[in-house]
Amino acid sequence: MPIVSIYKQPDASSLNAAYRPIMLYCSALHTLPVSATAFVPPVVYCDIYFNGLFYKTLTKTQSSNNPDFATGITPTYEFDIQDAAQEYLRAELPPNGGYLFIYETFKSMTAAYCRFRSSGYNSSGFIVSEDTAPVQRTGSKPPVAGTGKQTNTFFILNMALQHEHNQNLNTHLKYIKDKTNGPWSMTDAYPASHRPKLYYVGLSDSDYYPFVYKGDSELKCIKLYYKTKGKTTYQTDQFCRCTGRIIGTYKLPDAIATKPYLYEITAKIDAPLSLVINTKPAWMTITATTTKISFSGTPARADISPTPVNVNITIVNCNDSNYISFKDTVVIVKPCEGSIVGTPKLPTAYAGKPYLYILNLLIDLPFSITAPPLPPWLSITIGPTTIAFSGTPTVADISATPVKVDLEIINCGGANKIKFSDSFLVQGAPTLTLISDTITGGIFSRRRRQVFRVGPYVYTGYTYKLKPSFAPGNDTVVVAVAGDTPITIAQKLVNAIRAKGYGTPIYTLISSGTDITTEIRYPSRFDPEVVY
Amino acid sequence: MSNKTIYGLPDGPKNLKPLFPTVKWEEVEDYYLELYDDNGTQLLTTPLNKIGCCNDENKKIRISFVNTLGTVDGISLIKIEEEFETKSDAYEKPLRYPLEKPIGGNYRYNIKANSTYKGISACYKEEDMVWIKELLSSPLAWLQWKGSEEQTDDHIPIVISDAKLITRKVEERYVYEIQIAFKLSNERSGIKN
Repeated sequence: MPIVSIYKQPDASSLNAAYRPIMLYCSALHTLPVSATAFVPPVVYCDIYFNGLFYKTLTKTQSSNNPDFATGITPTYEFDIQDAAQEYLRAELPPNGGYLFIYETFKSMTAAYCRFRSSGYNSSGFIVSEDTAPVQRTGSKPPVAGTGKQTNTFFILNMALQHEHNQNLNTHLKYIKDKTNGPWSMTDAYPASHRPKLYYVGLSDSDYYPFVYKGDSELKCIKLYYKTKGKTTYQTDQFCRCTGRIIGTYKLPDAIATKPYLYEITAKIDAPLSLVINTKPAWMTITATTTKISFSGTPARADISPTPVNVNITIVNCNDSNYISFKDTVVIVKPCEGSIVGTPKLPTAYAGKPYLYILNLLIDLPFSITAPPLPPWLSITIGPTTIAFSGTPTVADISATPVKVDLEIINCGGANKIKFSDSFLVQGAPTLTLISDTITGGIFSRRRRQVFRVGPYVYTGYTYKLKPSFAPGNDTVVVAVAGDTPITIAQKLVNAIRAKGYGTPIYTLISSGTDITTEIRYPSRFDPEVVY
Repeated sequence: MSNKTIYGLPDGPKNLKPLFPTVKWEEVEDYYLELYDDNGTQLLTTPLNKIGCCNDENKKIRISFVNTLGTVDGISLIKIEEEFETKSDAYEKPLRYPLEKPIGGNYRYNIKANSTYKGISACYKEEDMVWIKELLSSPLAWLQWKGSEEQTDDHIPIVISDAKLITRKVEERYVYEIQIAFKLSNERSGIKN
């Protein structure tokens, strides 16, 4: 089992003094338990990262509570990372005298987070860590990136809080703002000195006013308010430095071969600027203005590559003193496509006959279709790369008006649409109908005269039957083949009865057009049937 | 994009002169600064800086010290005393006969020589004593040093002497004269032979 939860930690982006406890709490379970009750991990690790780089690992082998498996109390672990922060952070002395614009410290404040790892025992009884333990780079060996459950990212400052101070550093520093001569940003800047509200300096003194900055913008302008001797009002002067930056984060989206590509980044760059293109794909055009960096072009099919292509540019401004670097990769993918195989044509449907037609697709998955209005008997089934039309029309569905199918197949998230339009007729079913049944002859030689008529629709595969009552099962059978007409079916039925013979007198057996006349001894009879 | 860290805003006249060259600093009585980001948002306002206390170039000294917030603050003082002190041990070596004129018998060794400075300021008030406590309890401090022999202005490390400071008194509560003694962190170097 992994780290269960991080149940107490500094708030994200909060300010924390290095010279007081910086507590991180987690609950953890055994990674590889050897039994159902062995759930307390042998070691829990807290990998500390300063400014995104692994610094050191703290470990705990004892939980801070009394875990109880039966009642579900998981072991909890406490880590105080103040010692590590105190080791890492330093006070930094600004130079004596002029320094261009603003003095920046590098080790007086750090962004920090911890990644927790749990552990268990392997089959040999050795302790095995969950996740990957980070390793610093040594000599020619590259570093190993660590993994684990990560806390918030917060800031630690090389600061000490006195007992009378508010122990929340954010709050304490907020109160120092009142000791200055005017307003402050609420969240981006904080004083880093308790110096008096009225501060004395000499004309040749070097002095820097320390402050904490955690905003996202560029520090740009210093406005000076000064009062000369004998005057009561303040004069102002302003110094602004040249700056340039990309606003927000960026990630070049995938480029699609044959499709126009455009990606824009918002920027704030003082003019004049120059664009230096270090690496880019040949098809890509890059432009930079004071407010925008644009990446455009149309990759060809030949540009398709599974390997990301580097895009590396530098924008230079401020008389070649400011460099804005952009490094990313772009992947060129094949366009999403789809088409119908061949030239499909929906066939005619026949009443009573199952209907099935399959459209085969050559398409990038997934795809969907817009459901067209269809007759109730006809349904659409979507397969992996097929669309099947199926159902069985009834006689009631027979119509001279064709069934129209207008289908739209959509894939590529709506970017690609394939239209399919066709229509087909529903025609009538083959029939063999008794149209006349009369008794003839004398009282001692009564005969039955039946006239059957073959219906106008003849389709291959349909079976016409005349079933004799006097010879059950020995039916006269004719299966329609290509080229048959109602007349030929009638002739074939007559020939088939003749071939059967049936061993009984048949007084009349003729076909006349589509009609078949039979006359046999009463009460025997033929019953007609057409089946598929 | 500016990093998220601690910065030092140029705040002394020496630092501001290059940024605001048209201002006649000799005539300035007091001043303060505002800092803006590239969106035009005001980030901070400094305390009011007053020029005039401890402003005599021949008498004043300026100390930079690490405060309890881990940053470097400064204070200007009037130098009231500079004392040079040496300490050494003695040894006696046997003499040859006959005695040679330049050869002595008693010598000194392990010579330690350093200067101790004392400075005072009467600029700050009772409410500012909290900050003065940070000065007296600072672990790291430097003297602002004016460059000579083609060297640029820099800082020289000093050790602030332990001291007692009256931060609240009954009489004359409007004047708090603070006195600070310190010596240079590096002693004078000498030769042995």
